[in-house]
Amino acid sequence: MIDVEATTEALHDLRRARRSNRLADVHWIDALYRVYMVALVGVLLVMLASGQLPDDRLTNAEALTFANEAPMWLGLFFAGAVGIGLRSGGRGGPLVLEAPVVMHELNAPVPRAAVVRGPAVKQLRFLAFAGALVGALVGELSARQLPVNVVAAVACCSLAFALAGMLASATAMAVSGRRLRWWPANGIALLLIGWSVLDVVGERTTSPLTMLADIAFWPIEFRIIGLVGVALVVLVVVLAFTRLGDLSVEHALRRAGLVAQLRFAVTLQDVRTVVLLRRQLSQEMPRLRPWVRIGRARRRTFVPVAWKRDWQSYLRFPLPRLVRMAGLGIVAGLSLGVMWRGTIPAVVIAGLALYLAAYDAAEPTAQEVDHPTRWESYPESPGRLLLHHLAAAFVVMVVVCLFTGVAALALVPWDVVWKLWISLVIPVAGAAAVSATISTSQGAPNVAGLAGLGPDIMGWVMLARVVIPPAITVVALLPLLGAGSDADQLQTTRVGNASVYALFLAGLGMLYIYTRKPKHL
Amino acid sequence: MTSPFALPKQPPTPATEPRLDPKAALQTLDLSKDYGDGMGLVSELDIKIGHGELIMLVGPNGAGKSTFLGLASGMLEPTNGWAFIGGNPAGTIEARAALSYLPDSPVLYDDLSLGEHVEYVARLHHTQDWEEYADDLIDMFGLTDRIDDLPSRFSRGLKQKTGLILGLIRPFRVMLVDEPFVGLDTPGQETLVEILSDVVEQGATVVCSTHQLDLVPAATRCIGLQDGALVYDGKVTAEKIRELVGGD
Repeated sequence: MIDVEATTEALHDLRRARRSNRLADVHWIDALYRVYMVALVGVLLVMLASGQLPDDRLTNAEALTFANEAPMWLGLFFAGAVGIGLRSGGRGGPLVLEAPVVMHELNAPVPRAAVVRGPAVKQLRFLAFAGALVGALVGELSARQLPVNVVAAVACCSLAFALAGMLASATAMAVSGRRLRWWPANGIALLLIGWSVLDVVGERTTSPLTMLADIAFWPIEFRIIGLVGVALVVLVVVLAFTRLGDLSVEHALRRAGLVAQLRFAVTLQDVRTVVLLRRQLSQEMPRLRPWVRIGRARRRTFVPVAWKRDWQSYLRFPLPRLVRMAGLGIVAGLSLGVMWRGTIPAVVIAGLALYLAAYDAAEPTAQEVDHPTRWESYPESPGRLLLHHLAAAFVVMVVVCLFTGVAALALVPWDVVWKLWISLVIPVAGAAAVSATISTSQGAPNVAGLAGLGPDIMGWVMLARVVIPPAITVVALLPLLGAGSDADQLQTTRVGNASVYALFLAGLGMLYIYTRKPKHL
Repeated sequence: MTSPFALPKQPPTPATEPRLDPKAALQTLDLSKDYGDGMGLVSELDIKIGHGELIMLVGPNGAGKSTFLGLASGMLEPTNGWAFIGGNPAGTIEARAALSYLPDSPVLYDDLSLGEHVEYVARLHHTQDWEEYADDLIDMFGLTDRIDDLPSRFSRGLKQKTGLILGLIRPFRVMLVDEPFVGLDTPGQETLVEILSDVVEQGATVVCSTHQLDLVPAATRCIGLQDGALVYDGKVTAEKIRELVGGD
């Protein structure tokens, strides 16, 4: 007979022991310094965000119209969060248990739910707290524009965002506890997002996530339908906890190993390793059969070998990666649309989205970097070979920029979009391809070598490694600021002239790439 | 079309599956694992192991030994078929209580000392009067001086010894061990052979994936795998092991 109570007691005792060991290792000055830095960054962000808001306050009638239209958009955002949860759950997430926890605790004669419950509650609590914090920020900022009580706005937004955070996490747990495979999970995610899109287009409240979003607008108008969203969260949390222990141990062990490596790579700022591990975590493998097979050339060909090899790589991209690249292009387009409407910092989001998409476009370059022995075996300068790979990456980024242009049409007139797209597509696509190639080709930092420069210099070098590549893409988008905000008097010449600087920057980046050489571990 | 759910099917019982022997220490029925990419394949293994046996599981690299042990332990989910420990489906609470599984690389907490690890695992598995036995085991592997150190900072060999201690400190009826001799020094290897023989003498079953010929005198049976299939099940001799490892 298995004495479950005694083993659970042992589990709790040892968790207490581990907690006290960890606390003994915490240096309180370091911890306080971290809290101070987070608070400082938070305050700066609030100040920056509030500075971007127009000073006009909406009238009561305008606020009511806003409360009727905006929940659909917020509901769409929540649907995206739940979609991410579904995707994670379909791949064994969202919980990341340590490998020894999987090996010793999940294999012990103790109910698995007892092992997993603690981490699950911790994650729900964290996401509820993070959601509440973001909600409070949104509530405080919106109360400056809306004729509402600031306390009510903060409370309702906090509640809505906290519930959304819990819902996303609980959905993932419910899915992994029921061992739903990735494809139906992704299908449900797409359906939910599609439902919310229909709500946005039709300006209706039919999706439960739109109903959940309605809570944030209660200070303007209380609608009982918001309670449906609350009920949904409670239901999903209950569903998640009823089958918590049925998670796949195989998935748990795989995630444990990969996430440990991922954290280490993040600590080292080794972006390429982070990308690779993230792909393994989401089981994103190249297709066994390419979308289109490029056959062997039958006779002498003038097609550059790197160009052909690159397209062979792209044609093996799995569907999720292609969808992600298109999605990032769309995010960039929407951000640029928001920028056109007056929120200038949105250009940074657009730049980062294109930079991330370019990371996938730089995959063939990354393959050279990952295999230094092969890379240096070619009878060609290593840097020059990387430059050859840039051509295909540039073309891929032009395609991504097409998605950006189409998405921008949602917020910007057609006349403006096409003129600016033509003026900027070459420098932006080029800069994005160059920036991702720079980041990929610099490889993992040589920490031992940098340490010799002293901690101050090392800190700056490490910072530059992370900041400079995406900054190149952001800078390439800055000429858009010179276009003006009047669709009838668009300053395309000014944009074109300014884009020369972006091309110059991309050229400098190419020079840097030319100097790259294989690194051996 | 495959089911949208990956939940395991209802396990067979002796009533529904006449081949199932609830008295067997370890039994597999049509056990298969296919990762979908041709890696780690194990196909339709039917193996029955009784109590008090010391099995040497051998085969060339990529034969499916680790996959077999992972499936039998419940750490891996079979694509088809079943594994049973003492008549209970692998991975169930009863099977976990009866089974001690040591993977090829030891899995250890970063923040527990050797002593704390031993206490944790022993208590988690209801080991009675574990303290004295723990001290003996730690002493046998020469780790008494390191009892308060963090095993996560140990060398490969010392980590391996820690993993073995954790596998042995808890009660079990079946022990699955994957390449336990790797990284051990000669005294450690001798100690391990001695301990595994003792364990089997006391009635437990040990399935050990190894090519270590030192274990041959203690072993009662040899199971050979190649490309995921059973190619030998019988007496254990040094010649047979060399032949199976060579893949001839």
